[in-house]
Amino acid sequence: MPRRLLLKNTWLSRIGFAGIRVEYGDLAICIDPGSEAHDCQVVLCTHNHSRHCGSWIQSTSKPIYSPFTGYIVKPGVDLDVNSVRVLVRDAYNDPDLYGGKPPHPRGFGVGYILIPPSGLTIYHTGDTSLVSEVLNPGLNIDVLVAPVGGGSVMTPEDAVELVKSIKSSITIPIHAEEIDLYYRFRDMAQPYTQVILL
Amino acid sequence: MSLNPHDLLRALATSERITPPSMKWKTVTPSEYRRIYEESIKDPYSFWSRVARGLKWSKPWSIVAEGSPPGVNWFVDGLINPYYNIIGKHRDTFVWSKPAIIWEGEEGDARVLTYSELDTLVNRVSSALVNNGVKPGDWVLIYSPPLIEVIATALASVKIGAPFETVFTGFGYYELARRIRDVQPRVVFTASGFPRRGKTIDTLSTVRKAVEASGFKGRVVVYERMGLPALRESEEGFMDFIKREHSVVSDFNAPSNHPLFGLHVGYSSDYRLVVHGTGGFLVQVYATSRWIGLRPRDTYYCTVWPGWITGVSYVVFGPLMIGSTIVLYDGGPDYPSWDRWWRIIEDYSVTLFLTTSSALRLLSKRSSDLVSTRRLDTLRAILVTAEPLDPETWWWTYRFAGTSKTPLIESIPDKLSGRIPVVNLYIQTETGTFITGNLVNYTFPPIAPGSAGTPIPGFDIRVVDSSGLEVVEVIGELVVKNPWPSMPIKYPAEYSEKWKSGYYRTGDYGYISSDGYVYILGRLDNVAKISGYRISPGAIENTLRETLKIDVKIYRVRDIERFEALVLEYRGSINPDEVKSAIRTMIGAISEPREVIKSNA
Repeated sequence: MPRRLLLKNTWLSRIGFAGIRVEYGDLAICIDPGSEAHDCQVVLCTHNHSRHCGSWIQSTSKPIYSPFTGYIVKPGVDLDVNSVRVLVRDAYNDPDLYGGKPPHPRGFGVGYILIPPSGLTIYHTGDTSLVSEVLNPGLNIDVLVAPVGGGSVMTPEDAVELVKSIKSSITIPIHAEEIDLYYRFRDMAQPYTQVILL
Repeated sequence: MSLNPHDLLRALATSERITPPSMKWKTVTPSEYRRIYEESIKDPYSFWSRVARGLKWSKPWSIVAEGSPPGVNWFVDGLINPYYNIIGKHRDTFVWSKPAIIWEGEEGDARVLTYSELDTLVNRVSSALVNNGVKPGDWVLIYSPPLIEVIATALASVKIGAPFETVFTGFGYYELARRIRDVQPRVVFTASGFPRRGKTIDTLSTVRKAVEASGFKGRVVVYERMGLPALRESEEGFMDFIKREHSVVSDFNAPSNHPLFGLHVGYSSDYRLVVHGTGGFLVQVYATSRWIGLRPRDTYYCTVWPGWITGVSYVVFGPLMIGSTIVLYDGGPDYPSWDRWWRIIEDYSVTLFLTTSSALRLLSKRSSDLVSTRRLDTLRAILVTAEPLDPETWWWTYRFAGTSKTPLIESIPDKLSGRIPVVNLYIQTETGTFITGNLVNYTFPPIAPGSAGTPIPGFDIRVVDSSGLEVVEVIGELVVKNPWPSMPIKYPAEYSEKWKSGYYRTGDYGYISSDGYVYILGRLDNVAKISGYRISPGAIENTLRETLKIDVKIYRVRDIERFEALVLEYRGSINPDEVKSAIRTMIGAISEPREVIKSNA
């Protein structure tokens, strides 16, 4: 797997279980870094589950953006973080799929679209089902970072539907306990997007 | 094994005919193939003229071809915008925002450039070339490992009508200097170096020696790949080169026979420049790229570096004309371990993989776990070129790389039963493109392992005996009877000589089986094929005579892994290690003999 990926002057790398590090110029922003800061100046958390953002974020001096601590964000918010535009999006489970008791209920978590000054659009959907808000991010997505592990998030099949819908140029699958699910997603999605296993 | 073509044929030809499960519904019978093929060569001019309509011509040709070989003019009076037909046409299509190039460096970082970004970069490079006085017809020379900037520089040259030559970095400074003297480029592009198994190959030093040896007076543009050393006055860093004020450069509209690119190719006597023209070459490379299986949604990884015809035709041109994504990798296949190429296929979801027989033979000697533990399910075909692919290596590739984990129709992953086609294709610099091989997207009869497939439609390919009579099931010389669109527009006497009998003699022993499969059985002359590289023995002899003042004799021997190897015998007072070292630095590591013998006679 490539260590890092450079697109439009922006370095991307995977961190933690379902996180991504976005480096532009001197600034590194991490989404869901997991148990450590990965040398990031700014941390964005999609929701309050420890493998996404560990308890260390409660005591760090780094700026934290999340729906539960630090700078509290909500879907629809449009931020400027050190010249990187951050759009906050809905991320939640379809209650019907979980007998009315979704692990990620609406309002619990968010997704983020990051737009560094080079114009690259990176969409980390957060932990979500294939819901209408996710299917309609409202702008062209260059890089989609999507969970494919099933269970509490999209299955590989769901994520393929998402790819077909938003037509991301590149897609990086995350959030799968079983490595086979990455390949299952890759093998189905590849004609519709460029899948890169980062 | 000896060099005898009869021995080689015994090793290659079997009665096996394989239909891979993934091709079950696309495979044609030998008689269906025959019908399509015969139709195409009955009137090759109509055939190629139909194919040529797949490109956009600024002004249509008045005559398909005129003149007699070797001096045939194709698409006479036709005008074509080469850059539009490679990149420009994708604007306003879905291709524009998809990756054009994914580049991975040996260290493990990767870069992605979309078609739109590639176009922007090409425009900046072409603007810089124009600012440096490069005009249509001037040459640009590239001596570099595969980099995004190499593709951009080649395309920038095409955009302004400047032909380019890519020189393989396996050639040393003496050979590079000869190429500089031959084409007299205005600009030489190079990289500061590149990694090879964790060490740095110092490309810039080789270029500097070549510049001195050739008296080159133009600009050397240096891409910072392994740091940027202090540059000399005639040199400029790539980023500075393209940073200066740039303007939108309009595309060059080329007469069909305008020079597009050239390569030096190995003949007995020496390496000689062969130049391809714009219209005919683009017609042929676009068509064959589609026929070998490329589609816009494909991600394609070719291990052959630009510097060889496969790496120019099927990296710089064909896949980009289709709108596919190309993967470039500038490191060693064995770094950090022998599964590097398989990992690249896995990580970037590669759908078409093109490599050489020698490389597969090397890989097949390593633990099969290196490939069978990788997940190569996205692969649709494995294309192999540069030299014969022996049945043993074919079966290894088909089973271990070609089966994957997901069953398809009748494939049985646990039994490594094979799933996707592994096809051997035959190409020469002079033909410009593949001319034999089973075609995943066109004529695909069952595969005959060991063969180079069946002749590609549009090329009248035969085997003739020493008196020039056509033979079947007899070993003779492989010939092409009809002119083809990408015939060289500039060529040496050695090439003209090959047309003397009215057909083109490839210089390769060939054999055509009763059901039409072509077997390539080594050279008739003393040109060597080493790991797929066509090595001129004359170039080694001349260089050693000129520099070390020694007389040498070169012999070819069979090499299990590399197909052939050289044995060099010389008379003189210096020791064999000095001879080896001189060959390595001046001519290049790829020409180093397996054995150097000091003769006492």
